[in-house]
Amino acid sequence: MIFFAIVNFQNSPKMLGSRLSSTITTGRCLLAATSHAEVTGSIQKRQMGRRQPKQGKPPILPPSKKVLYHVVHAAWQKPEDVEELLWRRHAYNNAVVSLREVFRAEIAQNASHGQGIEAMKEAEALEFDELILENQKRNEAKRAARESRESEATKETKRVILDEIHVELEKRNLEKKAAEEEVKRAIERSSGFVDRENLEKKILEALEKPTIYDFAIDRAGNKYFVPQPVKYQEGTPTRQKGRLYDQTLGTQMGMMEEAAGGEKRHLEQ
Amino acid sequence: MFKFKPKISALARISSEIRFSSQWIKASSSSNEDINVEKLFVDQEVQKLLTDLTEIDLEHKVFRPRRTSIQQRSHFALMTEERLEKTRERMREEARRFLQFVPVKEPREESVQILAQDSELKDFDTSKFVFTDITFDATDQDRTVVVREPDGTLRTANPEEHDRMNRTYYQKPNRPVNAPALFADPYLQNALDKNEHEFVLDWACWFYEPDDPSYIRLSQLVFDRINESGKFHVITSTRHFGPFTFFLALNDNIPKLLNYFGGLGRLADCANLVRLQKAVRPDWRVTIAQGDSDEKIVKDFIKQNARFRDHIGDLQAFISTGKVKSEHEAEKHFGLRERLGRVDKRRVRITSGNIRGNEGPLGELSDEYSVKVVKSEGTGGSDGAEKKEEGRGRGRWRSRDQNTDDKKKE
Amino acid sequence: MVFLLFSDFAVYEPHQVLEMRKLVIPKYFGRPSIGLALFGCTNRPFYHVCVFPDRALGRRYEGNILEQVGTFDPLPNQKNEKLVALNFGRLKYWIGERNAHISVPVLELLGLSGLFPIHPKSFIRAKDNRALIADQQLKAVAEAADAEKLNEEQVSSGATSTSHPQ
Repeated sequence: MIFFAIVNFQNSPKMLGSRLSSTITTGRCLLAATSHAEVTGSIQKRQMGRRQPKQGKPPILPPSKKVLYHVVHAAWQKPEDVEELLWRRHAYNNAVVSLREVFRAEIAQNASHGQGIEAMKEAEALEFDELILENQKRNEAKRAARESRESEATKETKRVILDEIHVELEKRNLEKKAAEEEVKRAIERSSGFVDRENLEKKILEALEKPTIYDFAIDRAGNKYFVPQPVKYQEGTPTRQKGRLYDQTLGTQMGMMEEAAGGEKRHLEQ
Repeated sequence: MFKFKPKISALARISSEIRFSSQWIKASSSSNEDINVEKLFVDQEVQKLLTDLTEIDLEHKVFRPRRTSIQQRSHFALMTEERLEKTRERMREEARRFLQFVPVKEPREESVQILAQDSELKDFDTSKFVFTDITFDATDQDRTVVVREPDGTLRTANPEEHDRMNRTYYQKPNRPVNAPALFADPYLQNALDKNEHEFVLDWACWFYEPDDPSYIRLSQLVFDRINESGKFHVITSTRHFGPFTFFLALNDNIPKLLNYFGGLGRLADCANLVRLQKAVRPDWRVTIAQGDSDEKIVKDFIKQNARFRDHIGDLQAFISTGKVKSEHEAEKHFGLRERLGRVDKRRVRITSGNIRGNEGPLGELSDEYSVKVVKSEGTGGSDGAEKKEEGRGRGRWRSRDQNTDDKKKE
Repeated sequence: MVFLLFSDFAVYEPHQVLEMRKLVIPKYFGRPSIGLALFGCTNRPFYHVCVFPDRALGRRYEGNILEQVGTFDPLPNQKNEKLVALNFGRLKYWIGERNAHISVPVLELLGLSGLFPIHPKSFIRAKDNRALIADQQLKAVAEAADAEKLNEEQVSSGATSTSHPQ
């Protein structure tokens, strides 16, 4: 950069002179606009990154074939600045080169002292292995515990199932026995059953000793037959029976106390 | 910058070793010798005394309902006596963890080390440049922060800048970059008036490092105000009570707190406080024998410090009568009510004759304002009916006219 | 030194043109470069100090960034500070180990931070600013003197007018 400036300077001093004056005047104008109190605000003239974008296509694209070369227009600099920059830059660049060396040495030293990335990676790998080992140990312990626990659990389950089977079998045996008993009893009872031979006799018996369930019953167990049962029905039987029981039972069949007393007596007996 | 790092740390170490007087001891309190406050605070005996002084109030302080971002439901359980006792013990254990004291530390050195001075670089820019090292393994404490002043000086950052950069580049919830307005006075006083001491101190503890000069300044300010206003109940059973008591004991300023304990009838705490004072200030002229009872210690203290007599009225009352402050107050209140009752009996009945005068409901104001008596409908009789008739025609304008009439009369 | 010839328009030969049309700059080819990447929005510049794979590839695309090693906030904050954050460990790696090219603004920042010596341009800027301030002060003094003189004239004329009422 600096070289262009020098070359330009040597080539066209006249043009530069005019530029110099113009920049100076504009600078003055800007300064004149600000009061003394705002001195601090107006010093800054560099605005990094806020420059007008360069005209043309993006710099990443190759130049077209018609463009033969690129002309660098270096910004004008004061000659004394250029002079100063020259020696300063010289010293600076040397310093930067040695600083790079220093940094490289520092990183290498760190690496050799076990602070570098390699050492860190190794340490991490070691730690990882350790962690894995520990994890395996824990898994082993857990597996052993689980196995013993599970074997116990299977035994327990087996026992429970066997018990259940036993209980079930016993229950079935009992049921079977009960069924056999019942069948035997039914066979015994079957001698009194009605069949073709004794049908007439049974009918006669039933007619002689009818069983009547048309009664009311109280808590003492007294049965109230209304109307009183008769052995042989005479006349037309009453069709309406609804209000037949609509009577106070105690008045006809004795007092409630009596019934209660009877009950008591019954209990005492 | 890294070239300077060992230099910086070396300088910092020297400055922390050579320290002449503590920030925690006020200039007004008379002590001419050095006390290593940090060491004294973590001393076993002092810690034990402070822990004993900090009561654990589970229901009203440590586990009281508070506003947090975590939603939690209260949990109810039916327990046996034994299990209840166990749960209580567990909660107390937890509370002990919550009540860990905020460390008492000396402020970091405010002075800065000048690393380089380039007079040729003067006015390179109008503002300072602050450079922060954001290397991954640096911690908040040992992070390097340097400042390039506009006059070309390169210096290390002072604690305020250092912490501000930490807050800028390593954000945490509720820790804004600049100190919240709550920590400065009109708002601080508002909060303290609303008894929000614990909130202020908790936030300050979260916002600042414990060895930040501004934290120490702020906490001392709050402590002083608590001591001035005597609102000790706001800070008891919090993690700031230990430092608070330690601060008072260090500055020979315990009588008010002693009086508070005395007013609650806690003689053991009073004695502990006196013991703490003795432990913190060995040069103190009070003697405490090994086997002294609590009462004897307190009585000795009262006897030997006659200058505090005005401040410890409640304590003296408790020692002499055995009654705590609330009982005394209840008695006083009772007496006051009795007297008021007598006043009531003497009060004159308000009649139509004296209602406009000084003895009426307006009292002395009746000289300034005229009293107008408006009878209600039932008692008004013919008067009310008349008014009604008059008012019907002109509506509300009439009442306005009346008002103006009244004013004219005045 | 080749570039020296380019600025000289009179001397021009085809083989030099061919060299000029090279897309890669041999000085920087294959070297990572550290520079500022503009990450702000309208009227609010903010820079990230980034490592780019090659200077020729440009720093306009976020995808180009190899690593972010810092930030730079060019607008001064309330306390008149410009905040710079730099990851010095990584910067050393890129500068020392990888021999990265560093752009001038970053060099200036590094110089101000004390990691590098101060960049020559910082000195030049400081000198210019000092000159400007001196200039302004002179001007202000001159203006003040003018104003005083004007005031005095007015006062004297006023005095004459009061002494000779007409």
